[in-house]
Amino acid sequence: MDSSQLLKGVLALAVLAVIEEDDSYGYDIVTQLRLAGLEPIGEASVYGTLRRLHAAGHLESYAVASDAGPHRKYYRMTNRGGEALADGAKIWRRFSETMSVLLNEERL
Amino acid sequence: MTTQTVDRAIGEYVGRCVEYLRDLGEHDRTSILEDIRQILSEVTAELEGAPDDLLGPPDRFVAELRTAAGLDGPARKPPKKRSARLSSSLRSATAVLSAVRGSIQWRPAWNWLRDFAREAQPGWWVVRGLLITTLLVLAIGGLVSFVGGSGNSYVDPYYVDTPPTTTFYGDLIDEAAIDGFDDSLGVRFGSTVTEDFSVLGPLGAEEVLQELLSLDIPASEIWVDFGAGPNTFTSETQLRAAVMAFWPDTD
Repeated sequence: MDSSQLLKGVLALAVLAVIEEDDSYGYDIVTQLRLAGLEPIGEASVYGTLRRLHAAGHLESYAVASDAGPHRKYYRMTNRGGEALADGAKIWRRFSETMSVLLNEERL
Repeated sequence: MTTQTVDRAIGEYVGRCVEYLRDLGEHDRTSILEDIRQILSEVTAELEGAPDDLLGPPDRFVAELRTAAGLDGPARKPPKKRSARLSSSLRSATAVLSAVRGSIQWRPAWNWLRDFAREAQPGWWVVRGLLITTLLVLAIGGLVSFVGGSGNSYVDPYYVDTPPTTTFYGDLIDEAAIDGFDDSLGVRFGSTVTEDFSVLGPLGAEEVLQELLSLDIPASEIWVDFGAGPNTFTSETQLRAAVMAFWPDTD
């Protein structure tokens, strides 16, 4: 199975988890997700997800001047985003446990 | 790459992305284009390479971004470009059309004529004389109707139906970018009086500049949406520098 298909469903959760650690900008988030092991992730998916989360009020953005070029658009978590992350994490854990049980049973 | 080269490459890529966002409202489209420019600024600050190599072709990139953003929709293929020969021939007619700016009465006829010209491409040398003659007739008709003060309005997808604000001119330029500098542009002032001009060939930077200046609007009112440099200008000199820097010269 293509892991990118699975990734689409949980990308918002992964992005929120990265931003919960610290405010960050798009390309840095892409890099952090890849370093964490989500190599197939594309820039467009991450930026599109950031846009969706921002529109939903889960993130706020602000500009920061950069030595490397034009200003960067940083994102920070809102209270609403924090709640969404907590809810999503619970759902993910339940889902993950269920899948682990199912997959183990399949093997037996 | 120099900063100017990078800005220009970013501007070109963003211009090509517009085509796949046309089904969206102006707010979403403008906002996504700003996002794409932001992405490219960040990525090119970290990595070497052309935007197409870094992000993939615009159609795929926009489709992926829209899916992730929850803005899935139809992606339109870019319009087929006219041949350079036809465009070059038609360009000479632009001067004639410029003479009839200010009228809207001849627009339906003009649409028909434009379509006809496209289809007549193989035998263009035969119809050139007819075309010029027709344009002259239309020009006279346009001037007559303008003097008569007629105020009909019409709907044309290439015309942005908004008041002439500064961002409006950004839309105008985006429209040109969508069509590879290869289609007509229009300016609408309010709902009844239309300032109209036509650009019928692939434009060079100088031609773009002249078209903008020919609108007889102060440089400070023109908004250029290309590159990371200034978008508004206090003088013609500044506007000229920006257009020359950001607008690909296809000549």
